[in-house]
Amino acid sequence: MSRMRALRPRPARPASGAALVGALALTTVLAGCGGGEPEEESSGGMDGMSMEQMASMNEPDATPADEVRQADLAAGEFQLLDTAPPGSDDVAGTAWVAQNKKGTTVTVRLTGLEPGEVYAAHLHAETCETDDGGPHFAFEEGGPEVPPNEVHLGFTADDDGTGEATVTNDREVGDGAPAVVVHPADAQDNRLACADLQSGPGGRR
Amino acid sequence: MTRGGTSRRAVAATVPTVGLALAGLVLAAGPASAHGDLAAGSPGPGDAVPAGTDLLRLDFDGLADDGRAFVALLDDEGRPVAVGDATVLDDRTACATTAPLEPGVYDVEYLLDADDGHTFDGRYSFEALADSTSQPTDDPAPGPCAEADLAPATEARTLADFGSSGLPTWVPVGLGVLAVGAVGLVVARVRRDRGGAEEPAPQTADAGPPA
Repeated sequence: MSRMRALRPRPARPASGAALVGALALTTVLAGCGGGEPEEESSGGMDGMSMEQMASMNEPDATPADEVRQADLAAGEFQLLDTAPPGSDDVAGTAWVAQNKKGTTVTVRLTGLEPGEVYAAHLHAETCETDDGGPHFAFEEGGPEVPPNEVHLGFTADDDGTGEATVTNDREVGDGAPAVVVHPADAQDNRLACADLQSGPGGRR
Repeated sequence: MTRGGTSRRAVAATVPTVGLALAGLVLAAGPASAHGDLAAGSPGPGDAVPAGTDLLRLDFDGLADDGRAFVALLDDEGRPVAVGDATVLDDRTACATTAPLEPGVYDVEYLLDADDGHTFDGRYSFEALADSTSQPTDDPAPGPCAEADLAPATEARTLADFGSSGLPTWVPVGLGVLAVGAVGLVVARVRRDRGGAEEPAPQTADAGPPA
């Protein structure tokens, strides 16, 4: 006696979908190549941010660092760097970093900028004398190269060529960020000016 | 179930997975953080070089041996200046000839593949000064580019003219593979569902031979 196989609805097979998910995982691994190796800042880009995002790295309602009470305050005057874009000779300004139990507040104010130009500033891990500030300061080295692991500021110069930005971070940077560097947002290779931060007459506890 | 319904179900079952894969691929592959930071250049960022300079040298931390290397030059009006195809000499130096520079401010734009597989891009400006100026200039330092056999500067192009999306080479390949896979999945599901719908009702040997 022969017995024909009864036809039954086939159960859904996830294998094909799993293959694509596997492809996704593979491509993601490939794209993130480096195997956990710390990645460095893109040469001249904007840390993967758009101009709008860069300009939004600003908290205009925050208390500027030089007005934060009961905080350690460090300040530094911006000095032009050799890598500044042509025509930047009139750029000047000050950076302030205030630290207390609530975290860190950073403020930059500059004049002589190109009106309408978007600028970015970052806390850096070295002094201005050392490689123009060296790499970005990061709370966790090898971690994300964006806030809150790093401290970024962005702003657009107004019609008078002045610009100001303030950002806050929940953590204290301590002594790990001795300088602030500013550059045009779309040309990070053109580091414009650097400010060495020093506690001094403007600093207080 | 109708054939149309079967097809729609198959597509509906496949699209989310494929969409997820494509989104992950594209989001993960954009030009962004990468090895290959610009270490130096001639002319470099902020440099002032003599007018007539006709060679661009860009030094990076790590370039892919056979990767893409696009270098473009824009004048102070944003117009592209003739630049030859860039040549990567080793894992850190990219060279390109340019038309002798007139006095003015120029923007260098670059997009290259790093040795870690990432693509990175950037832009910086420098100035070419007329001979008559009294301002000090940075002497051109072509380095190894001076001895290289470089393509002539015949065409004025922007980075966009190179047809580069800024994505690593493997991304379009991966997209193609995913697209083919997606189509295959849909076809397989449609065929399977149609087959299931058209197969005869269960039979047993007891049914006897057909009349």
